[in-house]
Amino acid sequence: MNWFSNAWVVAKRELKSYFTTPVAYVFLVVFLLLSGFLTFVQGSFYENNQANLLGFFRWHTWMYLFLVPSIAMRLWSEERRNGTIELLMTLPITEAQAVVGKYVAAWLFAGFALALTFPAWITVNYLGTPDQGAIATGYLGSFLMAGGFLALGSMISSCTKNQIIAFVVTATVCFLFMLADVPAVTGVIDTYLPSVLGDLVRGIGFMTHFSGMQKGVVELSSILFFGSLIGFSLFVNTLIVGHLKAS
Amino acid sequence: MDTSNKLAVGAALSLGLFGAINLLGATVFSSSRMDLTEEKLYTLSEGAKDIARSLDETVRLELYASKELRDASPVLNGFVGRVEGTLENFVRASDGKIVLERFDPEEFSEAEDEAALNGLQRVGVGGASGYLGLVMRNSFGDKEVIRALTPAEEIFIEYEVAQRLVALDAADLPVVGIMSDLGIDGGPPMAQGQPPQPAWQLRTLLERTAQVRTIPTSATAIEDDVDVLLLVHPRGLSEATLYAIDQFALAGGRLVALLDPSCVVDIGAQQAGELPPPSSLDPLLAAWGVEFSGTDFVADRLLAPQQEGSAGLLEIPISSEQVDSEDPIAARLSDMRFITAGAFTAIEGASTTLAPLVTTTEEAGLLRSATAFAVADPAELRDDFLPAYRTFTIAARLRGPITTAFPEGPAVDAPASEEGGETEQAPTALPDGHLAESTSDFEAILIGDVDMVHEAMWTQRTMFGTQKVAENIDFVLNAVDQLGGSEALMSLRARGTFARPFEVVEALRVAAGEELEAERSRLEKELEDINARIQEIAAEQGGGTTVLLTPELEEELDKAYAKRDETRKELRRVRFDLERDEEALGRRVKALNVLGMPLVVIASGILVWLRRRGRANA
Repeated sequence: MNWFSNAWVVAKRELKSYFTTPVAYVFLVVFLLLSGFLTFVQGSFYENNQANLLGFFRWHTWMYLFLVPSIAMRLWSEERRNGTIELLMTLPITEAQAVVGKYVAAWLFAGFALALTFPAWITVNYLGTPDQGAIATGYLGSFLMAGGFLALGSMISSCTKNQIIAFVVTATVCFLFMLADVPAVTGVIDTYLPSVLGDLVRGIGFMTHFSGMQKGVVELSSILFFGSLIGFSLFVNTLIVGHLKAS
Repeated sequence: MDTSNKLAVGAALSLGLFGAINLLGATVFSSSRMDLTEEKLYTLSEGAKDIARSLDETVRLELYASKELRDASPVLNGFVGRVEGTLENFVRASDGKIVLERFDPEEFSEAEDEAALNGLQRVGVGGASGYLGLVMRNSFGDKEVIRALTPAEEIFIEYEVAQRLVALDAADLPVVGIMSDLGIDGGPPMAQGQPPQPAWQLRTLLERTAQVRTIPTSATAIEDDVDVLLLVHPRGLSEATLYAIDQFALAGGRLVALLDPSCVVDIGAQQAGELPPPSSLDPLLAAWGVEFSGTDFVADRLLAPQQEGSAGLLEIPISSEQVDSEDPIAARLSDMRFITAGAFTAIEGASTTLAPLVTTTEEAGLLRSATAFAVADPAELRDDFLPAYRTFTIAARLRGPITTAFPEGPAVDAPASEEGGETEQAPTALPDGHLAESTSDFEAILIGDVDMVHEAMWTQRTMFGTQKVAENIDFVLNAVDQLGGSEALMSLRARGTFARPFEVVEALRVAAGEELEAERSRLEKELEDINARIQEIAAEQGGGTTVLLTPELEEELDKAYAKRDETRKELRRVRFDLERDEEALGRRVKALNVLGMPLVVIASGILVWLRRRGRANA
């Protein structure tokens, strides 16, 4: 399909650009070191004597909070600052294809970083017999969560020329989504606001959806959440780019 | 519409739709999910769902979980979360008939009073204490309580809740008919002037959870409302009675049968010098696809007690290793005693399945009761015993479709002919309502020992009264309780476990433990020897507390102490080495995982950079 091949061209170009500079390597090393340290040293993975990757996944939301905006901020802020958006738009591609292309590249890169954590999977299988179903859904959930953070980040980065602002705002927005289902927050909302709002806020919290998937349960509400978050963020992102192109 | 308008409208629409979709997800679709764990840990089993679905009346579940306990231990907190999940699954499966309420029995709160009133047990972990129990009520005021929920029994929580749901939903207690000649109901005094014999504990305890009825061994029919027939040591039953049991089984009645190759408790039948008599249920067992070992009993030389004066090979002590760890009625039993137990084997090609509940080790074999009781001391049996090197099943669950053992009806004696000739079996028409096949699966529990259920085998008289010393009775009570419940209840097994320890680490620990144990016993033996030697020296000197040491003796003693110190050092070294193994593995795991991949990425980054530079220079 032509639409996809165009988007794929953008994605390939974007991905290549990640690896021409040391940026990608630095990011991967930092991500892997952090993940390894938090899981195996800070998280006492070995001492806990439990053959599951819960001690590995529990850090992902926090890691993504700091690392994902650093990928996302480059997606559109840089183009805006350098004025290369117009250049991009002279090519025979639509805004949607550009947005999706860049996003897919970023998501694939995040997925690649996640895939490089496979030694943890090998380790846990060597030491014991973990529940493979739960591990599979855990990785799926982590990948979707990265995708969600990225979609938000992509949209936000297209709003500003300044990468730092993009980073900070993305991190803040993602943090709000993380707070949404914390008992302290939901407690306050339930007390003062109609229960419908309470249900809604609980439904858009990253933690609940991810913790379900870490256990091995894939809930329809989680699929709807990640799907709608990514879909609508990219949609608005496209509208913003279209607006930038026009002005 | 220009782009800024499009943007505004698009953003607003997106926000609204996002909210709407996720609201739907959180409410309407909140229960749609796929459980992809290997053991479906977060889903109820089909049997449990059936039980929840088929409740006639509402049942209220009151979960009392102290926040203090949850905060004190993350393990306990996780456990409580999962219990809540299971209870919510029951609620969901029940279509509104089960209602769940949560209470935090804080100190001095009403909830705490309620918890105490309902008999919940106070539990403690670390410095915190509180309640963690479940009270279940139906609309008739009946109540079932799980006094303390423990993580150790997590795999049976589904069964415990389901069993109590069944109990609450049943209008009456199940009817259990006991058929036996052993005087289970009590009996007349053994001799004049003595008090009447008391009923067995079996009967007394059963009366707590069932309506118990005595069915005479001469019965020719079993009443329709009997749910479970408890057959203890059937012997010499008439064909009419066997037919009655046969028809009862075909009609959906459930059976718990205790058979014995030599029933020691059957004193009535034992005249002086005769062997304890065997039970017999022959034509029925064959029809049900099972064989019993007749007058042969199972001996297991690995399990049998070895002390002097014990019953030796006649006895089989059963620990948790020998029971089916997934069957709720047997799994949690860890200490039972069987004496002269017979074995059950499935007949090939039978329509039923025989699932072992209690099995022996492979160092087991069959012995004739006659030979066993011919020797004065059971210890003599050991010398000549040759095991069959296979396991034997001494208790089992029988399940499946069955056909009648009396396809032509029960034999009835025709009246004698006028000439006083032999009575012949006259062909009779099948009785009214004769069943030839079962309509649903037959459910039975077969136990190969009768003596085990008599209190002599599981209680002991001490100065403080009678104490329970084995779990024999629990096995039988569990069996009757479960069979008195619903069919769905019988399909429930232990659920999967959440605990998956590192097997490699556990293996290291077990190996370490074994080696340590060996060294420790060696050291203890040496210490014993040294102490014996010292006592010997003292004795040689004629007793007394002062020991006069000759230079040789002093040297000997010094050597002994030196040896002891050396051995202790050795012991510490062994332990240090073994702990070191475990820690070394941990360090390797950490190093590989933290530094491994980052180094690979750095290396490949350098490679790429070098290649690019190479290309640039070329």
